[in-house]
Amino acid sequence: MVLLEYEAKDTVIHRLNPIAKAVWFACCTILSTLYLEPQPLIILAAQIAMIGYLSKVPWSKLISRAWWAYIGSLLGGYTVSLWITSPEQLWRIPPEYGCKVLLEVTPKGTPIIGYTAITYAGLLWGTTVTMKIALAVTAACILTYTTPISDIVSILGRILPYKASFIVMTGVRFYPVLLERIQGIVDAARSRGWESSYRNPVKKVRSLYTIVFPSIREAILLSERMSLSIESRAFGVKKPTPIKTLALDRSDILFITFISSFTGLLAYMWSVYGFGML
Amino acid sequence: MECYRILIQLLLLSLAIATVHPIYTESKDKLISILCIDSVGEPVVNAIVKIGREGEILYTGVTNSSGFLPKPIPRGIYHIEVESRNRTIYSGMVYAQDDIVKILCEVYKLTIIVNYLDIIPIVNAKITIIDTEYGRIVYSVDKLRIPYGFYIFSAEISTKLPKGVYEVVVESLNSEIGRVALTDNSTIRFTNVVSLDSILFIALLISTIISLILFILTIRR
Repeated sequence: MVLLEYEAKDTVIHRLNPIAKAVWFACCTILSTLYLEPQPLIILAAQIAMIGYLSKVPWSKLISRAWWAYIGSLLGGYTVSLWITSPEQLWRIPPEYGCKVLLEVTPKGTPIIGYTAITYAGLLWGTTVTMKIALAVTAACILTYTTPISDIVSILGRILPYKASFIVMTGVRFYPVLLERIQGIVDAARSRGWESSYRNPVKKVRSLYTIVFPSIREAILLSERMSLSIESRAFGVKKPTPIKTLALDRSDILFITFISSFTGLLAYMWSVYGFGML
Repeated sequence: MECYRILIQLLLLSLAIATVHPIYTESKDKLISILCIDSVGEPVVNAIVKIGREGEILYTGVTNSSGFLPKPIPRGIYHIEVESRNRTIYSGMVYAQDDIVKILCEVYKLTIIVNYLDIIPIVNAKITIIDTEYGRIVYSVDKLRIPYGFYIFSAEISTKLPKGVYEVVVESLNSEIGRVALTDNSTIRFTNVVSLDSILFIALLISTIISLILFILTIRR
């Protein structure tokens, strides 16, 4: 789903070829999955912040749309970190530090959950996972903000079969449109005196009927309209002719070189020096 | 009658002294533990301890991982000699009276740091430490590593050695030799050793910096 829609702006990043931006996003994803310690992610965060600054991303809008992803990563990361308690889960950190228990949550032999505790390694791991998800979400938002969906589809079309790439991108685009429609339904219901601030859960669920049913209807209508417009454009008859050619210019090549070297450097430091291994 | 009273008082007094003063309470057979420590109070491990009296060696043992001699000795005055890596690190008379006798040995910590230009860690370098007096290799490591730490980005290793003069040889693509007179905890730095890893690291670093500068220059035009 797209959290931040494309806005046509005259920035350095907007002017870049979509291939360069796709390479940047792929490198960010690789780096964010690589590390188990937060230090290298600080460097990655600085790089993403620099790209965000150059593309003039509306940060407040991004946070207001993606706050749930950040909160979810925070809760998820630190919850799972409670199970980082044994030396086998660690690569570099000496077990006497990594497995040092700060607070035992559940004792050994607890049914289903097992042994859980807050350890130094667990705290580092939790911070890392939180940062990883937050950075990946931010990078995805910058990509969708600076690159038109048609360009992403054309790049995906080179990697995936055209139909698959179209379906993926249509699905991705569907969320913000639907969200907008649901917001319209909520506003209309409020103007008719609808409210959902009941304390009684049964009443609260009942009050949501007013929103849920029109939303489902709107989603069905939207998908029907989309399928009609796809059919009218003879989708699936043959592979469409690309409207734009994705030629790389000097700045694209330099950007790709910078991103590739940066990713190579950090990945090399991880592999040889153990930078970011827990 | 008066005589008996004085006698009983003396008896009670001697009994009271005997319960308070350790010299009367401790038996002559009380056992004393020997602990060998270095200049920073850390245990000296695997040191050979020779305990003697009047020129005769009574007991010889090796310190354990906690620096203790496994077998305690009876209270008394002894001549103790401690050896580590074929060097005498302590020799002197000791009055073994307390429960634990701490022997302060002349063992110091030597930290070897190998970073090219003081920035790039040289991992996988071979390190050899030679005792210059005897020409013996006292320590060697085949692959140097970066120790774990939240902010450490430096290839280094620490070892404990007896007081003396040592030659430290670091080998990778090239080699560098350093000499250290160990009379206290010391650090020796090697900044001219290069490795294939460091060359590749520099290449990637230069490529990143140059491409970033060129990209910034291109977008400013």
